[in-house]
Amino acid sequence: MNNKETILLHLPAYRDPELVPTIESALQNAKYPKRIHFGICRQFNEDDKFDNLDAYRKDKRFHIMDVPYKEAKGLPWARAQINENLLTDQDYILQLDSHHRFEKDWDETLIDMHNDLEAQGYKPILAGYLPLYDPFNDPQGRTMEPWQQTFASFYPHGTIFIRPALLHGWQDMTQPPMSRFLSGHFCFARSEWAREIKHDPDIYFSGEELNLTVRSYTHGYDLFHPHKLVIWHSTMREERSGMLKWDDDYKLGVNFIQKQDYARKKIRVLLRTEEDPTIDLTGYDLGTVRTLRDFEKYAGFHFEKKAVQKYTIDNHYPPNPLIEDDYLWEQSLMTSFYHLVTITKQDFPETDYQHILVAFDDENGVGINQKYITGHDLDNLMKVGISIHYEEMFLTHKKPSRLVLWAYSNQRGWCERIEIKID
Amino acid sequence: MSKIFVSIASYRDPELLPTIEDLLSTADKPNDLVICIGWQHSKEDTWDTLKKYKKDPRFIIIDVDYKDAKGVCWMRSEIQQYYTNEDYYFQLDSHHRFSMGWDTQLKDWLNYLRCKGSYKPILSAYIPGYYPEKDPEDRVQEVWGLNIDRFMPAGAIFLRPHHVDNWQRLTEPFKARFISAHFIFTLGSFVKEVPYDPNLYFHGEESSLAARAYTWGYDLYSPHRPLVWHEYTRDGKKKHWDDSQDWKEKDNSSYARFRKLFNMDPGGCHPCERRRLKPYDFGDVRSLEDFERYAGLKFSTRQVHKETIENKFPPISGDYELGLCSQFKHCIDVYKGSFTETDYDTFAIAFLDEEGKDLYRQDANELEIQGLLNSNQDDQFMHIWRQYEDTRRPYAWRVWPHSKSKDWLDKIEEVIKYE
Repeated sequence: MNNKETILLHLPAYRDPELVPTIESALQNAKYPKRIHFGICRQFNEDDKFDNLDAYRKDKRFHIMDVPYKEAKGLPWARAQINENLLTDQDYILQLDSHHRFEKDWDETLIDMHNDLEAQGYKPILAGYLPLYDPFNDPQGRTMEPWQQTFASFYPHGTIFIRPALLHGWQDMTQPPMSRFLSGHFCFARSEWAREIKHDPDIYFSGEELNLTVRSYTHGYDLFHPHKLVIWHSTMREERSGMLKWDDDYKLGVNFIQKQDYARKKIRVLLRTEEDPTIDLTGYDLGTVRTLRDFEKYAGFHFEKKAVQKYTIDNHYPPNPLIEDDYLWEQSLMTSFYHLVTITKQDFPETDYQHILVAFDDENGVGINQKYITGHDLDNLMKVGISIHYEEMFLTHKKPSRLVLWAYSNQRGWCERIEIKID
Repeated sequence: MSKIFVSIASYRDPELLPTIEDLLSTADKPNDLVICIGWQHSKEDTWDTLKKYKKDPRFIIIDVDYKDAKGVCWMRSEIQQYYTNEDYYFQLDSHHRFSMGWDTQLKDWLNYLRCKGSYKPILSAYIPGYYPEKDPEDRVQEVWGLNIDRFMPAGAIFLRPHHVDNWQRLTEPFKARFISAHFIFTLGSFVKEVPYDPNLYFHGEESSLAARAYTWGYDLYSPHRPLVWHEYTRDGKKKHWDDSQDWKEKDNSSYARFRKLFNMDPGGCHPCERRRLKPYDFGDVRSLEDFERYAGLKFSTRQVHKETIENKFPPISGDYELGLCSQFKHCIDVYKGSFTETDYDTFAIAFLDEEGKDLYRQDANELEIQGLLNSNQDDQFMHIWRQYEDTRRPYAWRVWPHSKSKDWLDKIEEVIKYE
């Protein structure tokens, strides 16, 4: 570890009671606290009190931008403010949320990991979904194993549902494995990365991570997951319920859906799955060091076809084995299917159902995937009237063209049957 | 950058140099090759000098005087000692021709299989033939599968190629039962996990390698397009068994080793003998029975599945036990000099049990006899093939010639050696 290297902790905080404990944990556990700088975009409500930073304001390591919460414009916007206004001459950037805990000597661990990779010729970003801590039961409530980000499915609107999973094999690893994604809440890189890959304020929560991932990769950055426990994260959603950005937006009458639709469209344009001349990607486009297809082959996705390789589904670490020939590569993909299944009481009036079949059929009526709703879920639907909602995801070589819901009654056998066309 | 370790075992082969030239000139990335040559040569031979490559950093040359050679498995095992974690392993003989871009194509096929969920694929086949004198015109543009021909009396499996119908319609490599030693392309991990057994001599090399690889979790495939060619008819070219005095002995101990590996001797293989097979034993990802059920055969009873006989792609789709057939197939080799008459009309040909009773009899008629007597003039032996369904193994065979003028002549009998 170089003697004088500094890190900017990038902390966008939106009315967060965990902001101050996060700062304290970072300072207490750093090996070289003097070299830790803070870039904080504090989006506050005066009534809150818990995120008062007055104790730090005279400290030269602290760079604070205060924004009244009603003027806040979303997380990517807050992140952009930090990188554009608060990042100065620090060597590294550690992009986080504002609710974290830190392992002892976390600064040295991250810099050593980073520099080992750099010495091997990589241009590394260490990132990932951090394991959890519990603000009300710390450190006992910490998850004591590192995680990775995995592909769960494509959403119909074209982005990817990314899910955390255990970083399998981490105990035997001697260096970080490569990763398919960056995480919004944890990225560690040289500060040049934050200057080069600017946060796009239009990407309003939806798809932020995929946006950063493909842009970083095509700019020549290499993505890694730390193989050690360094930092923990908490979602803080329940604890802050009613104080979250989208809660306030709702109260303020911001059209969240419209913003989200625009963000999704912009990502589709970035991923070249949609053309729209009205959308300008200037400053937020792909890089030219690698192509989008390079990323797709590396990670094992095909954005346009919403297809994925088995290798990716089985969570083998990237890069996926390289198939140079594009035609053969396309042939190696399976379609990732996603559908939000909804079953409501009014469609199933009887009381004696044994089970309800949920089947996806192809255009010829041949079954592709099926499951049965039984037991507790069925009771809830029938007796309590609670509708069933779940995300069905599977891989297929065939295209599902309809969803069939079909109830089986003890007395009448197969009875109520509903067919829903899928585009 | 992904390196390919190329294993070339050569024995006094005039095709060695043309093979190397072609290998390098057709590769997309010749500098990513690490070529290790088991150079078994004679100072008297002029055709296989490797002077040109001795200082080439891509080459590792193992210099072996042909008198010190110990067989091809030994040579391939020696070559593997020089493997240093290259990404891919490519095993060849020393007489081949290649398509342009063979390296990219093989990597693409292998990685295609990996991306689709086969994490340790092997591409191997009896690749089609070429003729050095008429190349590239006479390259055979076909795709062959690899199948069992028969269990040899001593237990090893004799393999044969078979035509793959409509291979043009295949869109990806197809599943295979066995490995052919003259063409193996796989991950480098294969060298560490399934190292070559130097104690095998020739027969049994390929079937034991396939079964071992399968139990280590490797999936067997054959390329669905012709990509590399092999010289099969090596007339007049020196082979190890031409020069070696003790090849028969080596072959026998090799058979014994094969039977041990596959538990084929009565009483099986004692655990302490089993331990001695390491590191050339089976892996623990799958069992030998898994391999038998996949490939459609059974070593202990020497049975072959109906679907296997029909050259259907593995794995066996129907019932395994019910489909097993007990075929006995044997080649009776008789010295032609024993037949001095001119008017044979029948050979009574039979397989016998220990008491001399017939187990199976299928006579040769005049037409077959003519064919046998007039076959290959350079060969002093006639080869009479017989094949039938039976679980009992015959003790001996008998050929009993009959002539029109002299009636029944002397019987020729020989005990069949199973070891």
